[in-house]
Amino acid sequence: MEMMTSRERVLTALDHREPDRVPASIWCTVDAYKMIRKNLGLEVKDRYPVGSTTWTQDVSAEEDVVEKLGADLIRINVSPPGGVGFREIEGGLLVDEWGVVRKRVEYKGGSYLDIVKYPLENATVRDLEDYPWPDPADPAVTDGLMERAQWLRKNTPFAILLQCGRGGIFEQAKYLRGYAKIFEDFVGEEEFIRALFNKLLQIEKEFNRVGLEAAGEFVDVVRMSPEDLASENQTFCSPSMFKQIILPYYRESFDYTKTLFHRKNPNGKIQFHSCGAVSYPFMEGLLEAGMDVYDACEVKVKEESRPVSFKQKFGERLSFLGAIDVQWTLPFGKPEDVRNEVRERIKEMASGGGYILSSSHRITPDMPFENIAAMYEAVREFGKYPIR
Amino acid sequence: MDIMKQIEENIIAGKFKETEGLVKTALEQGKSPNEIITDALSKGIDEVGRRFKCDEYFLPEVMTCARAMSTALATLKPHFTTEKKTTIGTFLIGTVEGDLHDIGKNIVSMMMEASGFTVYDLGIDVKPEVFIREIREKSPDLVGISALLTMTMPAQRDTIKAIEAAGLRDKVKILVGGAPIDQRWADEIGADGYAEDAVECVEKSKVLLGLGR
Repeated sequence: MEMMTSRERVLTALDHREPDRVPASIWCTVDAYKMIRKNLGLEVKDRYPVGSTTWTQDVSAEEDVVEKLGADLIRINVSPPGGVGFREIEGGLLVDEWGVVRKRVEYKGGSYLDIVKYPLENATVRDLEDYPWPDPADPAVTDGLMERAQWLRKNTPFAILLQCGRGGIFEQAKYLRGYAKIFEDFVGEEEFIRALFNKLLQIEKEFNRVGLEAAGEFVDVVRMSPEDLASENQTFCSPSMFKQIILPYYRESFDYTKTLFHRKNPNGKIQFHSCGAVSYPFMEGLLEAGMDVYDACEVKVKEESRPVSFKQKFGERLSFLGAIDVQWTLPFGKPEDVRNEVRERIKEMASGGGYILSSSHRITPDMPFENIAAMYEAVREFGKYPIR
Repeated sequence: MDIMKQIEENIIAGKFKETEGLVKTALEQGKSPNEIITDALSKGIDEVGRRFKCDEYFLPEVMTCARAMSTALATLKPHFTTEKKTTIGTFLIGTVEGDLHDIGKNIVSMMMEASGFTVYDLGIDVKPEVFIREIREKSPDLVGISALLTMTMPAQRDTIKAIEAAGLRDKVKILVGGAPIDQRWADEIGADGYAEDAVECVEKSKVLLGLGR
């Protein structure tokens, strides 16, 4: 087959047809990004703009990294109101644009952020009205976004993914209310949950609107705010609770975003993220609500929810992004293990298109660069269609 | 309905607002705290565990049951001054240094306590030297070491090595757990067992102590 450009490769795959080879994507934390740049012999800055959500400390990889690794999909994102993301308060604690307070926790070899204060832990429905919510209309949210998207379209061969939202609905509710408390709410405080979800839905829609108005015409995929719906073994609630309490908000968010997006790009796709063992009834609900692409396809989960099972069950209607294991293979395996996994995953996922290869979650700085390089080399080696 | 049955069903239903009253009634009727644990709370939480395992219960239900359970245990606590708590073993648990996650660990603590173990929960971000100090002080049968991130998994190995270096390794059985953990990792770092969730932690702990299932 004649060689395709990166964008043709991605769009063909997302159209459920086989491109010249399996396309690839990159998603990494800022510390991992610096490590990758250094290893690729590229200049490393002290700071990079905040990526998908403030707290995840991820970064939208720039075109030089995407090109050198041989990936095909480049990400841009809406920025936090005020442009900064975290504000530091007493004791070195960090407050994000939602008012969630985090602490930097040191471990051997790095640090990460964890929540020390859930601002709505004891809130009532009435408190939600007076809460200082982030403002999607703040000019910093889309500052430079249109120019960046336009430049990338004109000067690079990559397909473009726009990371919208800046927190999400169920996901952000967990951070505002607390993990333990939110699950109790599902049983006893349904009125509060609905009021909180509704507030978060309005904000999500607004972030998506301003992002799409700025850059929609140059964008191929819109990724909604990431939402985690499951642990490795089980969804966070029953299918009936999901359908009654959570899904209606996703449906409205997908509908609204897709309608706006299709005005700018009629072929645009909606991408949705969850970690964990999302089950068939959840996937059916999300598909029916309008999900086109599902990431990041965690590997070490119960059998029904593994990438290969989803491909078999939903592959004709749904595309997948991710599926290279971040729990063992990338951090602890050898490059040979990575190659083997890429080869196996391509066999499982790539037939008929509908698969973009990437790590099954963010690349973190504990992953040896050799393993990351091996992943992108292996997709070039084993990803050529027809897959053997 | 018999008060013990009522408490058992209260735990299963997770009606934590009514738990304290029921436990007090049982005490007034002359039930001993140990009886209440063995004949009501344990049975209730076993059923919650069973429902969780077969996808009848999910986290929202388990969290409310856990809250009912901890309410019951808190209500019983002052009554253990006169009566000694019957225990099937002692379990020390903590989240490793550099890791602040504790929801899973807390559920494990609660399930172990409800199943008859005496539990010492060291909390989060626990340094190896604290594990060692507490092992010396409490002489537990079992030590549970939790980690939720690939970045903090190596701290489980460091903690086990430190316990070895302190000459305490053969005094305790060590169980590891947490989202990224599996049996392969547990074997690699020399743990005695790995538990996928709280229910399995109880089962494996009993097996390790030769108590059967």
